[in-house]
Amino acid sequence: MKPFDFAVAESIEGTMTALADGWRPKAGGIDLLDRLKERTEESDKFVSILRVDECGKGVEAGADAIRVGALTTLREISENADLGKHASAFAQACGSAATPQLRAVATLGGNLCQRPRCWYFRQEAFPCLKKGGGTCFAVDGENHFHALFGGGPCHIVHPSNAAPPLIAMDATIEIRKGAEMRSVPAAEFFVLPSKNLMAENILGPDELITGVTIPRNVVKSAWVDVKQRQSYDWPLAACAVARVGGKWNVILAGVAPIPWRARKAEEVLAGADALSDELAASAAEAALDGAEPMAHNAWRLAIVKAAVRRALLKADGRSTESA
Amino acid sequence: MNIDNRVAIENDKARVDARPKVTGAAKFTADIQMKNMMYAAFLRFPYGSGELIEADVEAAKSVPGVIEVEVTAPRKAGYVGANIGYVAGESRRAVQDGLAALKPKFRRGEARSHAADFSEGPAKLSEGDQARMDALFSKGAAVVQATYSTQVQTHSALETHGGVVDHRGDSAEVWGSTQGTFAYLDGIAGACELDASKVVVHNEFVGGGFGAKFGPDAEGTLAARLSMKHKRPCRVMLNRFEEHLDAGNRPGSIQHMKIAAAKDGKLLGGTIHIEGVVGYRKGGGDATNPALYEFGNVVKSGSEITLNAGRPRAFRAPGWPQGVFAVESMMDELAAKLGMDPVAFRLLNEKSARRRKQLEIGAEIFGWNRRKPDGTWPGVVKHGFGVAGAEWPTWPTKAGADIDLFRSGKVEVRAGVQDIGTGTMTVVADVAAYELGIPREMIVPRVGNSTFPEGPGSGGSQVTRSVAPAIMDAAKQIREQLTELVQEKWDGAKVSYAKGVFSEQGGSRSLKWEEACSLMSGQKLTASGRIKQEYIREGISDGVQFFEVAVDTETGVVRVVKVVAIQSVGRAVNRLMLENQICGGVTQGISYALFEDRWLDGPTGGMVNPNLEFYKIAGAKDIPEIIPIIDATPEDTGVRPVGEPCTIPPAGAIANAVANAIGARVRSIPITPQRVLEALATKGARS
Amino acid sequence: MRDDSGREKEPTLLERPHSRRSFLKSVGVAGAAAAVLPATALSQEGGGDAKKPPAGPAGVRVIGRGATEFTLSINGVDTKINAEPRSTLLEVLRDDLGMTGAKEVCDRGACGACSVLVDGKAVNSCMMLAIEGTGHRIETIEGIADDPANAALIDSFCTHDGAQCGFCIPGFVVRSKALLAENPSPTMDEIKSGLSGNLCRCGTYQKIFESVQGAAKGGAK
Repeated sequence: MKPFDFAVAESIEGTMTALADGWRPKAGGIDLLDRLKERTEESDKFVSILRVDECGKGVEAGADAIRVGALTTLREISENADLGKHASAFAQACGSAATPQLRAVATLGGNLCQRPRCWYFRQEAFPCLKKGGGTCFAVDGENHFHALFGGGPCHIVHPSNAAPPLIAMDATIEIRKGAEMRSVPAAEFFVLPSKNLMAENILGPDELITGVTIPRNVVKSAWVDVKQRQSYDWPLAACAVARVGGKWNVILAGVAPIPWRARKAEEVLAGADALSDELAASAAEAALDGAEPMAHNAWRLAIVKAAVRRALLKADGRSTESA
Repeated sequence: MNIDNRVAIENDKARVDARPKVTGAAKFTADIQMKNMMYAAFLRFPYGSGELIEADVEAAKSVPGVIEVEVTAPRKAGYVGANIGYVAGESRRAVQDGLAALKPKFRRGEARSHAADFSEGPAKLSEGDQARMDALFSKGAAVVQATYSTQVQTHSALETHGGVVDHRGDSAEVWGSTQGTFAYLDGIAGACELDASKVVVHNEFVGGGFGAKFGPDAEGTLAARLSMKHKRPCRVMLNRFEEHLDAGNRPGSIQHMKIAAAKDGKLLGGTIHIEGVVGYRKGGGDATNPALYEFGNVVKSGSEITLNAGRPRAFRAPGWPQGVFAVESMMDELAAKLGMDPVAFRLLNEKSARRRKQLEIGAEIFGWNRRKPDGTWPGVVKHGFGVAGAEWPTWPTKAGADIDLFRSGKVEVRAGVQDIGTGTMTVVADVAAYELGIPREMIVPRVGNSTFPEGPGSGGSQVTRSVAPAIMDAAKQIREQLTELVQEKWDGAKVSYAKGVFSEQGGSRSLKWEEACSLMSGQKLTASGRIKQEYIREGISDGVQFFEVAVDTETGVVRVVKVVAIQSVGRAVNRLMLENQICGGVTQGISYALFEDRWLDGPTGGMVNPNLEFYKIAGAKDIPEIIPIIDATPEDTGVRPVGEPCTIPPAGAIANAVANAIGARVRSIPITPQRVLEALATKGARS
Repeated sequence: MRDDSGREKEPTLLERPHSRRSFLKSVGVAGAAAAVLPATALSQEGGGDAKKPPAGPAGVRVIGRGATEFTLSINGVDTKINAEPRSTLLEVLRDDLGMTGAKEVCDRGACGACSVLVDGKAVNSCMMLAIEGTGHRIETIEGIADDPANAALIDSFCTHDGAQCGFCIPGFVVRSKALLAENPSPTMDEIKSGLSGNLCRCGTYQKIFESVQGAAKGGAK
């Protein structure tokens, strides 16, 4: 892989100063190492933050909320009983990502901040818009797995499994800058390419996610993803739903450059006391509102619909048939 | 005929080389490290066509550890993955840094990426043929016209192609990841500018081949040239990116068929035109169609579509998986038109008596009667059932085996053949043990070395079939030599031998194997065996596979639930290995039918999935219940080919099972969720 | 090729996407000297003061980019390593230490052939910087196979014919050890899920599953 300067942070103050000095943080490194090997990563100085507890170690079960540190691995999240019970969609989503080996290392923070898996973005030979080049190769190319919503001028889909459930559960993301902490609703963390082509979220170069806070008022939630290959695959589409207080949140995954709120689906569900099969089906249909398929990806709309309907029924504790 | 995997199985023990593989002790070519070894890697063109305009060769040469850079710009390139130069260095790191330092600048040209864009449709027939066919079709009670497409598949052996060459001036020692010891020897000796007698090739452990690894190719040749020039060992292994692009593939196909069948179910004939989808030059694009059934009066023709991509190489049963996919799909479409059960339709038209038997027995074991009419399975997830067959002829070929029998009774068997996961090393031990009548533990089998008696490369599923007779021949000589020794000791009495014991005919004397061996005056007895006609029996093997799938009609996802795979094997040497081989072939077939695709970007011709993330090979969660049934023939003294036929049926059987499940036909593989959903939508639109 | 406004574009000279960053000039290390360094330790020195790593703030230990010495606990043995930070654990094991049991197949964490245990958990060694292994307990297939405590697992693979070409099997054995430690009596579905990060091109899966079942607690077939 490309050569880089490496440092190990030993304190949170050191970490934040390093970031302000232009060092990029490295946690599990699963996304980063891929990009270093493909030589598509710009930066050449990285500071490992794995040894700094304040960077996000551990899961804290509070009375009103569960705080999950950014360094928590996907595996730890998927095995946490409290999260499994009170933030099911989140635990399910993290447990369904990648492979057992990758989940043992990949962190929550890394999962939220990872770059897209778009096969043009990931190959050095394609100087795409997001890498500072002049073209989105998906437009005229193989866009079977690209954006169905919100695309343009770049048409990636956001690959995070963790983000959609967090948004569905009205979670907040802790961001640290220097010595200052602030909380941002997960729903406001991600940005469309039309707003910022070069990044997928609002984090500045000197900022770090240290954790997420999931309020305990999630009544029920579920994650459903649809993969072609069951062993290890990125979902064709997925959906995280959560009923928070009296409101259903429906967030689509893998279909837009950011986790995509299916507003019309939420409107259909608003006010209904019980979730019937018909209501779930209507909401699923409404979730397709605003879709802008590309030349080769309209077929995924049926999968979006199935994922939404099944996620709602699953959250509600009803069985759904799936292959 | 017995279909019973307890019959005629000689050996129930796992392969002899399991332990070195399981413990990681086995050294593959990629593992070979030698003192003072150097490395090299190629620069690859990343688009379908165009030009390397500029490369900073000086910068590459200045990278610490770089020994040599051979890149000239400007130069044109004609396919994605084309080798456009190389960097050699002290370490893999130096080589990679050297390649990066080149900072190549490219110009992209036009690319031929998608075969469908260049398809010319069915062939135009001559007037005479057209008239004949028109008459034939008018006689048919059912006529189906369909075009079936298959993708380009890469071999994706886990160990990539590559070699280590240690050129010592007047001789060379070589390690190659190859399934053809002697093909490699010939090629590498040439590259070393040495006579083959001065070169030794080692390929004791090979991490998969599947047909792509015979000669040294560009990477072995480069290792040889660099080793010769720099007078030090050189290793060149491809990386995964290169392996997908420039190490061969199974060609794609677009197969246009129009076939008629009579009311009684007999096939009448029709037209078959196959467009093979190949690489940047014509050649290698054949598909075996028609096959398996008496097709009657067929006008067959073929052509090839070239793409700006790597060229095909033989891939496990070359031509057959793609041909049989089309054949078996057509069979089911005709059966449906006639209102006949697919198994019954096949029984009427099958060429092979053996496959007819396998169909009948297999249908019963599988539970074919669970099959419902197309598309009528209740619920969202619909199960479907399909069947397909296979045939594999092979011809035994020159093979030799040397046996050394030591005074202690232990035996070494040497054969110049390869074990690429096929179990050859074990077969050698098992056959020798059986023929000598002694426990396998007393045998040391050795393969994968060019100093051993020449045998065939691991192609055509012919190795066991060829080397077993050679071992039988050598074993017979050893038994004869020992018998002579015992006879001498017993003053000319007549001696019989069976299962480790020499007995006096009509007398009471007996000697055990080790005792007989201790009679030898020297250190060892030797024998050289060669394949002889007397040991060879009929070589065609047959197979039939039944598949049950579950199709999620809301998402298009296909999951294989259950497989019954019947494979005729002739003499069954080792049950565990045969089961492993059959399940392995079924698994590769599932992967081909559902997941794999060498996917090129339309506009640029680059490969969008040159990795194992988006080039999807079946993994642990994609594996169904597989019931391998070894159809052994006890009376056979010959072994029949197994390695290739077992991977032929899955694509056809899965296509048929999916069609049965959803009541709509997908005529392209891989059968992706997209294709299933589109077939369902078309069906929905029609109804 | 059309641009965003739909006009036909001529094929163009492609700029490297990262041409904005100036490529750091490397200072050569003499060939002979380079030969005595481990394979992963060839220094590529940065611009500016060639020898010193960039300064870092307090609370940050800067290692730089050049070859550096560190110790890894591998199979219970403290092993001195001299490698650049960008060296993966897989590279160090195979190229520097000659421990070739872990294989390089995809080098991107997609196939599991490079699996090793770190503090008992199976990880892809190709996706781990070797230098970050300090302070952790690393076990490779070599150590696992050597340890009599794992005999049942190793033997089960050997007797069930859990290998064809064998290239993927060390990765499966390593992951299986961790799987059985997490779940001593897994169901078949749990075995399949547990092994979903390991690929076998020969399709030995059936026998691998049976091997794991055979080694599981109370493991009959």
